[in-house]
Amino acid sequence: MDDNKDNANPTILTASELPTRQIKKKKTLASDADAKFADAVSRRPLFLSDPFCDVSWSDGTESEDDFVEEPIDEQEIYDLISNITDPEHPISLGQLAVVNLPDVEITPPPSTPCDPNALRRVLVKVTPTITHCSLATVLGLGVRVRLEQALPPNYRVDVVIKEGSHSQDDQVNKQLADKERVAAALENDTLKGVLDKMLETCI
Amino acid sequence: MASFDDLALKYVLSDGDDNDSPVRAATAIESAANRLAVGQWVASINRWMTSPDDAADDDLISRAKALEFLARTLEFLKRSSLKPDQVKLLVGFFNSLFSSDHRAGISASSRALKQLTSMNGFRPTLGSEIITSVTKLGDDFKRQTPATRLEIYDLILGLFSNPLVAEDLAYQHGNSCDFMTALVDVCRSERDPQNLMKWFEILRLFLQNFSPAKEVLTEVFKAFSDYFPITLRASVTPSGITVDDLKGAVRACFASHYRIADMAIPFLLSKLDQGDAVTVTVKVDILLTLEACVAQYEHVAQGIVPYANQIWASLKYEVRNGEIRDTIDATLKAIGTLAKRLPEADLRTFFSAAWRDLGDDLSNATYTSQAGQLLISIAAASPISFSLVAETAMPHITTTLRQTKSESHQADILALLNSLLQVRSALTDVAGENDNLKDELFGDKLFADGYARIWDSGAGPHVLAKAMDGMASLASQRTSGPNSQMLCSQQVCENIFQWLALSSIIFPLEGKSLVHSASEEDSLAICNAATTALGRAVPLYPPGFQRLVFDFLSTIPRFLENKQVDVTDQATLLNDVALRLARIGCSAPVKLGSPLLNFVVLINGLLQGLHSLLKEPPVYWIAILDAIHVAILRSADTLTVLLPDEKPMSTPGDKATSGQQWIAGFDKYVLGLPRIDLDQLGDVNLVLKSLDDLDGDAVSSYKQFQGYSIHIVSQLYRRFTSIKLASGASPLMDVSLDKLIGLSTDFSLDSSHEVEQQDRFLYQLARMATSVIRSLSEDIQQELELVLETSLLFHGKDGESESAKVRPQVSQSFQADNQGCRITFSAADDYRIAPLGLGILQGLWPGTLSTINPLRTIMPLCEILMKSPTQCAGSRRIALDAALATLSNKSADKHISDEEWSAVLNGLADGYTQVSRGVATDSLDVPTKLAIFKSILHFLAGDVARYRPTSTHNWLLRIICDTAPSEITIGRQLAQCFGILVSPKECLTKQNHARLKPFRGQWIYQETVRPYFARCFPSQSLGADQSGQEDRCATNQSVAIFAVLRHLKYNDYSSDADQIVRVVIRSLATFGVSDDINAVMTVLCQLLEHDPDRLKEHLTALVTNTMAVYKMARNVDNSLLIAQGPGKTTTTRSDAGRCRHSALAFMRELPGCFEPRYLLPHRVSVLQGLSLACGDPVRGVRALAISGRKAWSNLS
Repeated sequence: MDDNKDNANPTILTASELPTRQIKKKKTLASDADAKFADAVSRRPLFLSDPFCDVSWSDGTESEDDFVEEPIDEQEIYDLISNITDPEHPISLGQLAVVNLPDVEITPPPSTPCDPNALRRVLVKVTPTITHCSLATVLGLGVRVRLEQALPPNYRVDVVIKEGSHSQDDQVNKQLADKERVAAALENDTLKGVLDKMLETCI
Repeated sequence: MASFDDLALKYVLSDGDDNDSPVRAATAIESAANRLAVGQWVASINRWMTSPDDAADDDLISRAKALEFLARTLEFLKRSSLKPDQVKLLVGFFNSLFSSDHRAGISASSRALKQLTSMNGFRPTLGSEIITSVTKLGDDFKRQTPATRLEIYDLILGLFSNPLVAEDLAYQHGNSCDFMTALVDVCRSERDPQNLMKWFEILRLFLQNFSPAKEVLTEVFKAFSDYFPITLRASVTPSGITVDDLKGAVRACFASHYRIADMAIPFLLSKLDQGDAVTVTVKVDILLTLEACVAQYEHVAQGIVPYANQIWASLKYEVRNGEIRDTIDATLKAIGTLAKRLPEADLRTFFSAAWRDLGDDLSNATYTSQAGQLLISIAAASPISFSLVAETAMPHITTTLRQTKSESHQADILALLNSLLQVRSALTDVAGENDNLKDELFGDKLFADGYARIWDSGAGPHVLAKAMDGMASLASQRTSGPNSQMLCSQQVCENIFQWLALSSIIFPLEGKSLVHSASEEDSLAICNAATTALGRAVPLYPPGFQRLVFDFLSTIPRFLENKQVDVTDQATLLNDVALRLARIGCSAPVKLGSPLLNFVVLINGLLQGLHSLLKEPPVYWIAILDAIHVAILRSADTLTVLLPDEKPMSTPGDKATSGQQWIAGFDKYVLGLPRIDLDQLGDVNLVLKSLDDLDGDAVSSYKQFQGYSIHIVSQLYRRFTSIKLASGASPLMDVSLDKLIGLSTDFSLDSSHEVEQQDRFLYQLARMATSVIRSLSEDIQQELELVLETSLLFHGKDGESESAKVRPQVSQSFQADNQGCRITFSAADDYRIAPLGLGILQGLWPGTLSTINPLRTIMPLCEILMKSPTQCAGSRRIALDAALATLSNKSADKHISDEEWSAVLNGLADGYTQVSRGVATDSLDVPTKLAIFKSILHFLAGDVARYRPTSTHNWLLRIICDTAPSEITIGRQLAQCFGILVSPKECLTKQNHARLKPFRGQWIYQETVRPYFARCFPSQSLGADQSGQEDRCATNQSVAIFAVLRHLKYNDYSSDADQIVRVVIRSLATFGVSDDINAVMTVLCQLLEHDPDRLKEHLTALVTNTMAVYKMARNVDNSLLIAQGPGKTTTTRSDAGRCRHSALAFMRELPGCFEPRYLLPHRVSVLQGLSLACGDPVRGVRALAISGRKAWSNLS
């Protein structure tokens, strides 16, 4: 089986090496037993949690369930596509470093305030594991389909192969940018099957 | 009486099992008690017994049935009914059938013979005859049905299990055992699992009870080893036998006797050495079988010693090159058993051979871990093997540790050392006085040669973590032999604890790391490793823990010097370190001395810490107080585990038992405890000495700890409150009880933030009091006069301070007129100490509260809460509300008459009148009205939790439900408060001894929701003016209903689900963006989860309205964004966010609950809405939209 794969032995990153959103610093308690006792002691009393209680309880945990507004940023785009499964290996594109956080670009940048309905462009550069990867188009197509299914209509998605990472990047880019060819590809049952399999692991 | 012939005929002609005929035949034989009857009985089947060989099929069945008649009769016959010669004749008859009637006679004969073998008249010599006749079946044996074969196996098993028969067989056949050879021949190709179980059992019994010749042994060994490794094919008619049963039976044959060792062990090893051809399951089976042989062969010198080296040579590779955990574990188990069985001299030879491999492997980084595992399995076998391993391996291990440069190699060697230490600890407990566990190799020498060297070498976090683990084990080692003592010198122990304290307590507090340039995770890993190591060591070495607490306290001043970090972060750090101390000290009781030792040392230390921080911001107080609370909970938890099972600790009927005196006055028995209310920090040495003198049994210790906890709570209460006496006032006069107790001078009023933190501290203190007090039994609560403490907050209890003089007077005033005492919440400092009173009140049993006069307690409290304007606002008011709920719930019915109850309700009803009065005469502002209304609802919440179905008790509830939602101006706000009736409250939990009736949910539903469905829809026949008002009232009514329903269980309201769905649909369209919508969505999701069919008819309305709610909430958000600019979050915006979240959560669940055909009509519009929702400003809502979109787009 391995002989049929373009890259039978790719480099794999462990889960801890992948970029993640910095979660608010939590207490350093290690064991569950600690958490059990500490929760019983330090959680906000129920009578202060009644729906109409206006007493604040500033212990730093309040904003956890708050509905804080955060724009769609590069990390979120990365999170959407990094758990797509590779068509050859049962490993995610994030772990194979096919998609990387620095290769996700949003214009105008999410930090600049603008009308929420204004048009934005997401550019993702995909890095195949080897330069002659025959599945580069499928990878690009997977990323594209996933983003189109997960982003609102005012986001325009562009997927390209990262410069110099593939011997035929021009051709692949042309295929990925051609809307009609993308639409036709999605009509193809075999290809649709492969894509569905890839996107199965996306939450 | 019917003749035997008739009975036999009746039996033969019957279809199923006819018990009647055999029973009657048996009775007839017993009552006749002569030979003739037996003869007639046997002869009764003669007519079917002719010409067996040429019989037609029909005759065959009748004959089998007739023989069965005889067998069944024997079943019902008394064991003493037949004489020996009759038994012999019958045995002869049935035996003959094995040669003459292979088609019809076997099953019945076997059954009959089995019965005969258990007769008193059965002679053992007949056993041999039976077996011989069975073997005459020859090839016809395997043609019998499995059930018949089972009968035969049962017969033989019965014979083999009978010692007299076995003895006779051995005597008759000698070691040739030819009966067995014949039997093995007959039974050779058995396949049925049930039969195999019996057959293996027969073989095992034979091997154990007979001494056959070599040839027979070989035959028998072949008979079961041919099945090895045994498997079981899945069958359509499962027999109930599992493959593990079969494996166990075969294994028992292998391990049955050492006489077959020369065949069994080489056989198993040859199977194992087949390499990759063997699967993991088979390999594990082989190893476990080998282990069983080694463990069970009795004659070690003949059965095990000759094969020890052979076993080692094969098994070592399973660990050395093994990858599968199961195989490795089974191998280690086998080697461990081998080492355990070998006598010392042979063990020595065996180990010296093994060490040749192990020594080399330990020096090789690739195989160190595997060699270590093998070494441990040998060392753990017995004290002798440990001493042998330690003597040979320790010098090599320390040398390798010194020489190796590789970190992973060091870590592996340290892991081996740690395991050796753990094995040594375990063996110290079981070793005899003469066992030598090589003390000289494991004491200070190991510390100096091994751990100290590693510590100084600047090793990485991984290695350090292992070293710390090992050092903790080393510090807790004891010497072997008589008069066991600490193995390491005191200096080494202190050294170890100091290093561990540095890593887990001191450096984290100072913001440093043990390893320079270590990442945050690495530092945390080191810290956690040190904490775990300390947790293991301190129960065995309490002085180390005292040192640790001392180090913690002495680091606090340095910790406070670090002004660069935010105070809240600093406090979190302090709390974290203090919690670590609690984890180290309170997870296990000390092994020698009072089990309380470490708990008391820690909590005293934390009290001292709190005392030293009183000039600092209150956020630090909270950090320490929370740690004290956790330490109390943890310690109590640890002590509860030690208690005998049968005695639940806190029940109302728990009468005074031994140790009660400690609860009332722990400080009288243990001297030197700190008293921070008197600014005394205590004397550790005195505490240690007094603790040593206390009883050490589990029940006493638990009581002692309860007493200690009360001691802590009461002094904290006294420290942070004070009796307010005007200067020069006599304590016997001028005392205004309402304002007697206020905050102590520790509380300054510098900033509002600080006041908020102080209030939080008071809440936490109250919570600690609750958890201590609720663990006491009712009697003890009464004895401690805790009802009185609710007002006095433990003041004057110690008999020393000024306030002691006030106590008798105050307590008398509280208990005036013999009408029962009352509870007062002090109004001083704007009721800021109200939570402390609540803290005590919440934990009391209803029985304890029976001493109060409910009227004199509840009425004044209601007056305070109904008064306007009030000083009591914010969090203090909520504490009083909770107190009101507690009192209305726990007050005893018998102490309050219906009139008195009505008086209380009238007082509240007056308050409600103020709330509901019309706008024109209104003097109160809306927040005050709402506050009063909430207090009334709190009272009712306590009452309805233990509802009484009479109208005398519930009229106020009914009035409020009838009128509040239709209030013209504030009806909606009032309706929103209805949730208070059922929302979860700490004061109304089982844990806090609240009186909760099991069907309260249904009752509340019947009273507050069900009658009002009709009001949720405006009547159609009104004019435009009225209809607007009607509309509003209907909406308010719906708000009230959902505020209650969101807290009820689905079963409480399932009977009216259809009605509720209709109200849901209207409410989705009328509630607007508010928290009320979330209540609706909660109920809707419950309906969807439990009974989606109810929603089927309304899907169009539900889908459209829910999507409309989402859109509305999004638009509200957008308009707020434009109005306020980005980045500003307000309550309204987070409300809108919550609305969108709950709407999408419902939409996402729909595709999983309905067939696609119901949803497909909405698919396009929903997907459109969801794709827009993917751009929601809140990340959590976006995630819901994405998963919802996936679910909806998969519909087809």
